[in-house]
Amino acid sequence: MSIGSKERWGSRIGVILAVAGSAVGLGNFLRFPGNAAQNGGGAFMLPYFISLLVLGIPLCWAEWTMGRYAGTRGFNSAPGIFTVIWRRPFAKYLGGMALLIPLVIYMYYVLIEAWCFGYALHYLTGDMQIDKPAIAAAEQAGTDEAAAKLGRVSRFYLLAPEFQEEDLIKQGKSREEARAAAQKLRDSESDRRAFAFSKFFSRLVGSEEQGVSMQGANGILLISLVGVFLGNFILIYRGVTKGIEAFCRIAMPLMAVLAVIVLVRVLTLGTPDPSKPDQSVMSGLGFMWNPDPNELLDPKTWLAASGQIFFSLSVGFGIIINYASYLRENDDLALSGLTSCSVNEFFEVCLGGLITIPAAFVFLGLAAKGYADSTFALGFVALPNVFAMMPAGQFFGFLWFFMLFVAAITSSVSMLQPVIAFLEEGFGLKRHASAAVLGLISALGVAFVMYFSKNLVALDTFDFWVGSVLIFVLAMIQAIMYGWVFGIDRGNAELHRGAHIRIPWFVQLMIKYVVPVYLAAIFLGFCFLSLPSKNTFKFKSNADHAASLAAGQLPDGLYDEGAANNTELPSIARIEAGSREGEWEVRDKDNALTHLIRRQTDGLHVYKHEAGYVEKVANSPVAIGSILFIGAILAFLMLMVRIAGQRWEREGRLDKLDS
Amino acid sequence: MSFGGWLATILSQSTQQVKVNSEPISLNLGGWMVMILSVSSVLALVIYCVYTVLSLPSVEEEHIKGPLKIDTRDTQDAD
Repeated sequence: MSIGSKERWGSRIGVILAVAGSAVGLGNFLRFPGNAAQNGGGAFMLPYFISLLVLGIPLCWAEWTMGRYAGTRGFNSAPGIFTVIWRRPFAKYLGGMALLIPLVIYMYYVLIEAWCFGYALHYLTGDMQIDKPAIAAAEQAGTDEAAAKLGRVSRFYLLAPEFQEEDLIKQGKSREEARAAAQKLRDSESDRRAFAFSKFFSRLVGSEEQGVSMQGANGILLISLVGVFLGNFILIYRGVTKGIEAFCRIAMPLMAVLAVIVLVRVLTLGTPDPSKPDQSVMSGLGFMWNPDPNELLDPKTWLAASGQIFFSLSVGFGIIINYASYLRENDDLALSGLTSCSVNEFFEVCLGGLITIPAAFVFLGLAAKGYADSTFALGFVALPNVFAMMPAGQFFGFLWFFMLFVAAITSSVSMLQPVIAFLEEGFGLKRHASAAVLGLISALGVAFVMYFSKNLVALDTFDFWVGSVLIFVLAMIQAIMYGWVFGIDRGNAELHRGAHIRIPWFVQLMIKYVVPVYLAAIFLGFCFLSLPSKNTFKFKSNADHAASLAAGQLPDGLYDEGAANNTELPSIARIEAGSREGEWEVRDKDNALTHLIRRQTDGLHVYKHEAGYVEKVANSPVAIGSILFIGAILAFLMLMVRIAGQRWEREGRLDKLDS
Repeated sequence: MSFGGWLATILSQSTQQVKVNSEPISLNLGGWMVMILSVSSVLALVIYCVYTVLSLPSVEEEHIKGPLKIDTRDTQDAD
């Protein structure tokens, strides 16, 4: 058997740690606990483990098997691997998708990595604490110079009411309303703290205005970004063994040690504030782990658990298949694949599940729940707030964000390798040339995401279409390719060549029949929940308000009824006639549709409008631009795949596969 | 929820308390069981896997017919 690539993994544990490193990332520490706490706590673990056994591990084995099979036949890039498995001209274009996914994800992931590194640096410089004596002194001095001497978060804490007032006026609230809100913030210690950390994060990532994160004032982020970008490329330049493997052999144990230190700190917090006995470690664990069996009847719980497993294990990213192609013909697949999955689960369940939510709960109480539905909010706003209240919190905050940074770098470096492999294999480029080409393309994407930073729309769009939708599609293609094209008999034989454990035959049947159906069900459920807009009934009102609505005004009575029914109608509202008779649309100052009011036989029904992804994209030029950008990258990659395919044919590499 | 949406909410309504059930929570028997079962089963799996991997002969010994020390020539071939 000919071996095309000269690169090979140096050791068994090296490849396992590299694959696990690719899978372990922010999702393990932030997304998983948030997901579990939101979807039934302990009850979430039942669909979670079922998904791991039925979907996650079998798909991993399929990717490992196809990757090694093609690697021993001289192909390491996804277009080449797909061509080896599926001897059809279009297969290489399907493989092109396995280049697009890691490349586009890298474009925003490296930015998140820079945030983590930036946070770690800010902890080192003492910027992340709320220094009450210094704040009191600055408040007494009342000068800009005194405020400027404070650390960043302390400064935001000091100026929080002023910022709040400014922000609300910008959003169209009246000066009186804004002042009242600012005063409320001044009086509430917990809200003021939360505001300071939110402000710190939004300033760092530039979510208030387009392009602000690229300005010189954001020096630490810019330095972090350049540093991590170069760091990734140095590792890639050094190659699979001396770069990725050598780094992961150090980084993974280091990550585990750092996470265990933070875990011990969190579990020994006890009840930090004796005046709040309900905010203890035990109640934090209860918040995370107490099962709510009713949630098992909700399909959303099953969807969230399957999605978590799917995203967490890095299946469908085009990475495992590339990493496995550097294995030798008789290297073990079965045990290595299972070990990398189990290491990922260790970081997710044993560390992520015991650190994040309990820590947030101990200091923030039930308000922690408000952060659980956003990974970034939990990780970059709630936890820094928690560390600021924790004894020796600056030290543990540094450890935590440095650990997240290490987790991110082991993932981001794995996103570059599939494209580097393609450039070398498809065009015969040397390492420095392929790294330069990839560096240029990815820098363009990073600049795009960084510039269009307002509300992180570009990042969200990249993440949704590529980091969520496309990986489902690619995983489905790979499952079908393995089960129906490569064949489960051949797959089973290939998986067991050199294997150190036996995999039961029914796993092959699951990959062929169950996995594609399971994936399709998750994908359809995901689309159903995310794509269309929804109108949720909130309350019923008096039909007398119809006259005011017809005159284009939102009557005060509706505001009062809304407040009584836990529904906040926009303070500056515009009323427009709806698409059908007896229907009115309530739009806010940005002309975004927030509520629908429909005349029914028993009065007016008020619905809250939640824009689906399609509507959001249609209303956002940046989101449309981001999709076009992804399309341009895809077109460029497909052109390159075509040229590479012609080159392989000219060189007779594909003929060797048939012979 | 997307981060953009979340951030807009938290910044504009930061003075509003998150409305959640205010009943005190404690780790109940079900929570203990699920937590211990989940953590211990994952720990058992990872310990079994890592122990088995580390107790196997090295790759070089398995591939005794191949070169004893594999030089990937990663950096030499870089240019």
